Amino acid sequence: MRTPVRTITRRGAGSRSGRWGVWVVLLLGLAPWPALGQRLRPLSPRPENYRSPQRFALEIKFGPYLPAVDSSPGLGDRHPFADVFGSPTVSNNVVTKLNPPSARLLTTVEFDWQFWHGFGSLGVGASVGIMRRTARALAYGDGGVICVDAVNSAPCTRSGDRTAFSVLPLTLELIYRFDVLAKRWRVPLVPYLKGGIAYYLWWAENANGLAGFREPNGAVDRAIGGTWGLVAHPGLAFLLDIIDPAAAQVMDAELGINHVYVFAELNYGWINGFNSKEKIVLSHLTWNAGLAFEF
Amino acid sequence: MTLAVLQSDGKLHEVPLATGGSVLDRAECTCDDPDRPQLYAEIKLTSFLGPEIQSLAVWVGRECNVTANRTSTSTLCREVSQRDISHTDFQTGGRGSSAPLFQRIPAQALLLPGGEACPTGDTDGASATNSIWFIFTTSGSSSDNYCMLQLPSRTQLPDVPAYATTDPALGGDGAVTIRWQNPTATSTQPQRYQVLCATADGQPVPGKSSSRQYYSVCTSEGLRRQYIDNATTTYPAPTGSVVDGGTGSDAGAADGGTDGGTDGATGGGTDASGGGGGSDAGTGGGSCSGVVTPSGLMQLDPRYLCTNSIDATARQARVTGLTNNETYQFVLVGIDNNGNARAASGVVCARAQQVEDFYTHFRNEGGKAQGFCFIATAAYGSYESPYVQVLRRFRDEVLLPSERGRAFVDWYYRNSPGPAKYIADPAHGTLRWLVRMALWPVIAMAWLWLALGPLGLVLLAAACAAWPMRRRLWHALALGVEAQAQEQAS
Repeated sequence: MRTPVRTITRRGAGSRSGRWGVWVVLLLGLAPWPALGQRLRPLSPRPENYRSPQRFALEIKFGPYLPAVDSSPGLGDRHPFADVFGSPTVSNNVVTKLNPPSARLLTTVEFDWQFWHGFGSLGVGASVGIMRRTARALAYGDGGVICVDAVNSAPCTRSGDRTAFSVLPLTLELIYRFDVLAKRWRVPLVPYLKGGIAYYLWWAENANGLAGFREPNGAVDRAIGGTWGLVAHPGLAFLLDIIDPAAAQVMDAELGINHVYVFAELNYGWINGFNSKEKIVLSHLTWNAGLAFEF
Repeated sequence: MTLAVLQSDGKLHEVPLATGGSVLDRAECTCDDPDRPQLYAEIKLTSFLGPEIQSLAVWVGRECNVTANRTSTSTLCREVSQRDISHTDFQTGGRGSSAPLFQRIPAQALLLPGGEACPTGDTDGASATNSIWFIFTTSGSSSDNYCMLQLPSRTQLPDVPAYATTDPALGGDGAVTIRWQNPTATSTQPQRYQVLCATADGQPVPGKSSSRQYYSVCTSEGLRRQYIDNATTTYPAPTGSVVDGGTGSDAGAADGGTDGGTDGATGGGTDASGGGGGSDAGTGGGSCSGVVTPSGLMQLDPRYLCTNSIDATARQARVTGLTNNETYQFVLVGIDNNGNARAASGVVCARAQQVEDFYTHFRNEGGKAQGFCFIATAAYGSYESPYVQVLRRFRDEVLLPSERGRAFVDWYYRNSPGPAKYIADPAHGTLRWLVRMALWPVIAMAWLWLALGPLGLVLLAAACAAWPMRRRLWHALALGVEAQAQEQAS
């Protein structure tokens, strides 16, 4: 028998189009499926070792990120990234030494669909991250010489304007989790390997917004783009369920969260546009750590 | 009741009052100026059944309803206005004497500055409330009718803001960034800031004087009250008075800023003075050598304003619209909620200059950074393809209305022809198919964005994420409701 709720929503979706139709579909997705007027009944008792089905995983992870921008084609032995984002040693308001830039925080969220459970699990995952770093823009010293450090032009002070470089990594990966140890022998360690393609969006800003470079012909090259590449993430996850199995059982029964992990992984990225001669290089070798929820 | 300012055009200009209603700030209390604020009262008589009113007098002071206090020698009250009135001065709003009656006293010079408006001692910090008495003399009555209004004054100045100890002024591209320190933790922290600036020869910066003024100040040329929009208010050009221009004796030094001492002017009153004499022109900032500091700058003359209101939590402000390779001088002003202002000690100087942001430096050093593209037309073979139309709509309705979107579109049209031509080549059919596949999620997202808007897209994503758990969530909710019902039943 069709419930009133479904009748109403289907009528709405059928009678209208465009935006309202999509909204109805959206509301249908959010609406609870049991009829609103239906009397609530307690759930049937579940077996002691009940496990809800598990197909997805959600990860949030953090790690340092230092893109190898200075390896980009055309730079040779020059290092503009280090010039701008390096840590200057300042003495009497003068940059006397420029130290290599340090990494900045990369925050990433990943959603996985585990389509096969057998000897381990196999899935695909998509992730999006964000990293942003800022520095004071370089100033021109006396004589029109760009001020990088006191070695190149003395005295050297940075300008009051800020410049920023942001990277938004997008990845699509194949994931294998070797969770056999955890499932069969209660060893709370799950090694895994992820690998796939990546597309790193990037953009640079100055004090007026999106930066740009004026070409000799007068055209302005806006500082926004993207670089394709490959990524790999070998890692090890620790199953937190073992700390409090009863709580894990409750989370599974009531929320459908099967497992919670804390994990650390290496973060390899070959982000160079597949050796393109025209792409900014954003490669990295770093690590991530975070929490993963399987549901 | 509202305040108004009688300006040089002879008209009474109503001005908004400070936060909290009718509050006089220090400059308004103390500035001896023809443009000082005047009370603009509207009296509403809801019944007029008594004896005929003969006159209306306005007194300022304490207990002015007592006849004995309303004398010319009284130390408690002072008469500021008196006029004869009659029934014809009232406009009847309806029938009979029970209708509301109004009386305006538009230009009745209710001059408030003085001991009554801002009692002695109050100017040093505390607040006060000034009573204004409207005394109606009636015929055939031995006692007068009266009503009383209260006009508080808040005259305590905010703390003196302090420039950053290092780099208080830093030049940028057509701009200078002024930096300052956290205020000390007191109850008189500034609630907002503004920055004044002048050229090296002491003139207001062209095009910068239209900033709104958020403080009252008593300059040597008179009161300049808060909230006056300088874009529509024309003051005479500032005079050329100069306060100790920099000696320029340290012209060879690029930094340090120990010269060019700028003597803080008195500010023409008790408000917002420059903070004392002989102040250092910003240690660590750009040199103020050779800079001529006008007295108006130190008096916080609004003609030198270079920014609008800056939030109290800010610790720096970027003054834009400056000319590169020109030196400017700046004064930071801390302002409280009542319009009282106090300037940081001294001026700081910096030169606007060309800078090199990261991307410009990257390109100047030889770096190459070709961007990204979605070359739908080439991939789908026709500009009229429905998929391409989705992207065109996304371009027109989402990207082009925003500045960054336009920049992206500009960039795309500059860079896409080459790759598009390659993809459109009939020999590259497989590549075209791959690009079409890769464009599917982009087109889907663009369509959803157009159909739902960004919020809808987020909700849809949330719905998709919640979908696998819908039964569990519902059952968890049902169990909770059931348990609550059972608990209530028991």
